[in-house]
Amino acid sequence: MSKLGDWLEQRLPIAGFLRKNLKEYYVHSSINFWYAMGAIAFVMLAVQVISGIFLLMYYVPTTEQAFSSIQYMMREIPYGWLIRYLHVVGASFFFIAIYLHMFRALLYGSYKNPREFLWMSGVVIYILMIAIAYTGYVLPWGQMSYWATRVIISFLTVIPYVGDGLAQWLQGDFVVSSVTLSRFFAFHIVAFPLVIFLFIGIHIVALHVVGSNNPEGVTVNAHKKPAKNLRKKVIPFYPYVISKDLFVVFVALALFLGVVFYAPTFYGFFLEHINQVPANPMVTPSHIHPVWYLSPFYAILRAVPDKLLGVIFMFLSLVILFFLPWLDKSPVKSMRYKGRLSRGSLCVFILSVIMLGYYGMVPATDTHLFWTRIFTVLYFGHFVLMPIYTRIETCKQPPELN
Amino acid sequence: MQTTTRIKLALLCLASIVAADGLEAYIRLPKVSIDTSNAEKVSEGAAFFKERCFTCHSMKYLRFDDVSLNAGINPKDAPQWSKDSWKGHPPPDLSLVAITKGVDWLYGYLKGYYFENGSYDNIMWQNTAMPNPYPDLQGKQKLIMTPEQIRAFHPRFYQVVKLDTSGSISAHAFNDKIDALLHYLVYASDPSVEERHSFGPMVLIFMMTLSLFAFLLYRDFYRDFD
Amino acid sequence: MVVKSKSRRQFLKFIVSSLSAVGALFAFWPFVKSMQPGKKAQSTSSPIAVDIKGLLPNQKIAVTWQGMPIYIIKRTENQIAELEKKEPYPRDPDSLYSKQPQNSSNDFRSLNKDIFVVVAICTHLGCSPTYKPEQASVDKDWAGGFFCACHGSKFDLAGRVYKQVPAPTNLMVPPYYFPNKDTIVIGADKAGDERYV
Repeated sequence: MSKLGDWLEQRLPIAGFLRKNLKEYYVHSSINFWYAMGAIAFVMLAVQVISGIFLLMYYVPTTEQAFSSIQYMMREIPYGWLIRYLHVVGASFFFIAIYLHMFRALLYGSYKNPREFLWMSGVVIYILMIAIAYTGYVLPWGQMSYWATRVIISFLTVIPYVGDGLAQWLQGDFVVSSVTLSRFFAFHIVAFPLVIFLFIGIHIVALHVVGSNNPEGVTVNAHKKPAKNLRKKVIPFYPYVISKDLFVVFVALALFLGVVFYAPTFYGFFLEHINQVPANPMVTPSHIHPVWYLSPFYAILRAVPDKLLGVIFMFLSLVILFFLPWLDKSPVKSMRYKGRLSRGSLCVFILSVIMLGYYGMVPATDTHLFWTRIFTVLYFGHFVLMPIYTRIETCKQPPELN
Repeated sequence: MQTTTRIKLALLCLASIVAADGLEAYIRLPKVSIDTSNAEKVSEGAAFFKERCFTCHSMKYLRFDDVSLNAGINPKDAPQWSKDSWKGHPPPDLSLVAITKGVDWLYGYLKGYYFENGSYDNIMWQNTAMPNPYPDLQGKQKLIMTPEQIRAFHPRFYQVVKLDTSGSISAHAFNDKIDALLHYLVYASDPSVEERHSFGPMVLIFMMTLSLFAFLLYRDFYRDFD
Repeated sequence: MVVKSKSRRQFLKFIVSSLSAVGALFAFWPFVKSMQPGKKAQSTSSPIAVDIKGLLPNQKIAVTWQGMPIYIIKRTENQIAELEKKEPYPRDPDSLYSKQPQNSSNDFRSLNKDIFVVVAICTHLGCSPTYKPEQASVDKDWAGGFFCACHGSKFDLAGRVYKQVPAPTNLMVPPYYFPNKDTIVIGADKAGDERYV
């Protein structure tokens, strides 16, 4: 048996690969629970892939049957409801995990040199997730599916000269129709997932090249066995960190299943009530808003009183994330050693994201618009002013590894 | 402006989404709680649905639902309406109505018919296309507040309408029928509840046990660095 | 002390990994189960009623039950007499290795001598045999029966397979009963749930 194992190992070194990347991958012992969010996201991805495959067995991507095929699956297929709810709630949990994962990066400066590329590949994954979530949202062909598609495709029409043509090209018809549904289906189940798998691979490879960051912001050589005096500060990923990840993942799964079994629509936040009405091109719902995880961007869109500028600012709010590693001029990585200005700005930023999320879901009254604009300014302010406040504040001296 | 007023205004704006400028935005509805594990109530409601609703409304997603079929609600026998029937508002399918409209609203709507100037109207949906399905059972209700009063005072539902002439069954019996109907509508909107709630506790207990042992294992590993 | 902590770790490792394995197995179950026929497929498996009032000898009524073609035929007196001979050709003359309801385990493989109900799926590779009641219509010795054109399997008028053909066993007989003399219900032995009909 071991002979066969050796034979295979020489030709396909799986054990060696795992040893090098798990057992001989070293991180700082200050790594805490924030560092398990990526593991949760990974597990949620698996949930989405598996439940998605099974949904695919029953879903019919035509405007006539999309809505009813999902209803029939949930009512007539053994455990069809479970598979559908796993996918629906899984999407929201995936975003929760990713938002916490991104917050961790902001908190401990995981985007800073030498992890700029790691951060940027993560932003690409996040944008792909948005694309997948949006195209997936279209598939049930409920009222919100239809009207959200109409609204989002109209974003393209702001582009001068070619916008209208581009919108028609994307929807494959003069209006949003069965053709649009079919191609969004293809994007959702094949095209975008393939690209996201590629980028997740890149993200993990990039991580293992530079090594994991840590709350103390100390530099650790991820591939060198630590000297004896450092063995309590620099620890191997397996079995230590992985045991912590495992615990956090189980707790997250318990929460996830709790929602799936007891509040699968999560009071209309994860599965909106109005999307349980089949799409009707003749009747616009009186209030259109996206699912919670895209709500902040929608708020920014509405905050700007100009069609073109609104769309530009909405995209800018995402694009600006790419520049974060170069906007942060601080000599230290972690918030633990940054000054008051950075900490304050991060708090204001988080608050503005949450509030924008709220204002993106409620009707756009004057009061709401006023506050939406304030928080939009604060959102961008966090990034735009970053080169200034990270330079002028006084930081604490971060520890050295010894 | 005071905070409470602002919150109230915000709530009002929210409420007005349901139908702009309707009176229902100003009526405070009771919180209706429905327990679909009460099988008797659900099938009672199904029978009432068959009797009073199924003549116009379909339940198209409940093709093989035993409760519905036993009550005689078979999608194959559902009435078919063309798109331009009922002045362009054909009776909608009600499979998911309890989710899309909400139970509280349905309660108000189903009990909201009042008699005025020789015809029925509904307090939750003025000029609704649906004729009163049970004037014989419920009797005649009348409006005891003017629209201006309703807008000004935000009354509770029972303060708005009052039974004027009683129907063929007592108000209490009629209430029971509506309650049963709501049970059936909620059941129909998500028949997975029963299965979900029967597996739920086992799944959660299992996951918590697993988490506990994973926690102990994690603590055990990290004790190496103490 | 060291030994004790080591055994504790081993124990916890064992618990966590075995519980995870159990959990994974349970998580598998709904997915496996979801691939079984749903309620719609089950409903088409419900019994169906067929009116056989006008069925004459040498005629066939073809219906679908559980997605399978079912032939209902009426045999003539001569054909019934022919079946009673049983010799020399059938491979499984007493239907010991073939599928039929208990109450049809006789020489005619049917409840009544004249009416014969059979699943028209060849036991060889699943083609649908043709009903050939006329004598010598397939070859010169043909006494009437079912002929499968795919691979040349031959069955007599009780669905019994002849020797020297590829099909191994007799045609399957579905469960059925007669609620009255003009009606036949296929899919049940006795009156039952026919709500989906």
